[in-house]
Amino acid sequence: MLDDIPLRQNWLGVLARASAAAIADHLQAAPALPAHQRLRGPEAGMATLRGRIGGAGDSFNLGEMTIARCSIRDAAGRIGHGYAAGRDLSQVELIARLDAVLQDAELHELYDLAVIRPLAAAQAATRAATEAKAAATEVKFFTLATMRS
Amino acid sequence: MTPGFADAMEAQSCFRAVLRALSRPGEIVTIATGLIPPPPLSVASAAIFLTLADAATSVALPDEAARDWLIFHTGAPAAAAQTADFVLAQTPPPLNLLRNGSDDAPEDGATLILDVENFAGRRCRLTGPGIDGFSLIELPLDKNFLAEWQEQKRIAPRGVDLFICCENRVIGLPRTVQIGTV
Repeated sequence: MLDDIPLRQNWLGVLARASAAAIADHLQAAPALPAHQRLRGPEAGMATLRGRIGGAGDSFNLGEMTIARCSIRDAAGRIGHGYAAGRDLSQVELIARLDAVLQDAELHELYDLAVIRPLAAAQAATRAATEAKAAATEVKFFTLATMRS
Repeated sequence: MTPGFADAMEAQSCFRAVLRALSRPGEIVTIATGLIPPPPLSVASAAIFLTLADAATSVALPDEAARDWLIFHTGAPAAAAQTADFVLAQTPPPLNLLRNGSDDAPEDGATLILDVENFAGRRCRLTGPGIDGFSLIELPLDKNFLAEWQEQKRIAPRGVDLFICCENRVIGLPRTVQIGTV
């Protein structure tokens, strides 16, 4: 049983940003996930987003967003949870099933290599491409003080 | 960890059973559900908790695994037996320790859910709203508890409502019912 919270946050974050189709694609390179039983969901619902203006501002309710969630127990008794923005129920069920096996110290490496790392790399590449595109149109502002010197 | 209700239909049929138990005090109502609750919860007590508890009601369960299971499925906050809306017990705690609401808001009184091995015990004579005349049943309640129950008549409309659960069967005893011994 892996008990590394930052590591788990990382894989749950990567999976939440990936689409169900992308997760299923990468899963083909790994052994089939164990059979599972649904504990709760998959179901879609709303979550209130809290906002804060500035570091010292009072928090307020910014609005609501749709989220989907699912909790499962697999054949070996491992429990996994999946949460993601949107209402793709197949995505959160896949996340929950992967979360269960990723917490297992022996299976972690297998699924991490097949699914999490390629997805994380793809997400990093997309982000880098967007940032590069934005950087090309960046406008640099100079203050008068800078121009005079 | 085991699943909760499979769908809304199951929750609704359990609500219907709970309603029947409370409106026909003393009748043994069977709750039809496929729940496999963690011990020491019985099927009936687990179904009552899943049906009635939510984020706005607090629950008191002595057992940690059962508490975790219930909180996972309902989002109900855990509380001490003295302040909780729903209290689970295997042997009845003193009734005056539980919340009994106020004259303005008697609905704030706690609901006690008693899990027992079987309903056998003292022969009792029930009278009150929902009972045509009287009904005779056996209840696993001791003399002290019945004296405390009698005391509830004095503080009406305040009081505690009671469910007695055994496997998938439940007897509802709202605070308005009079329990006499035979």
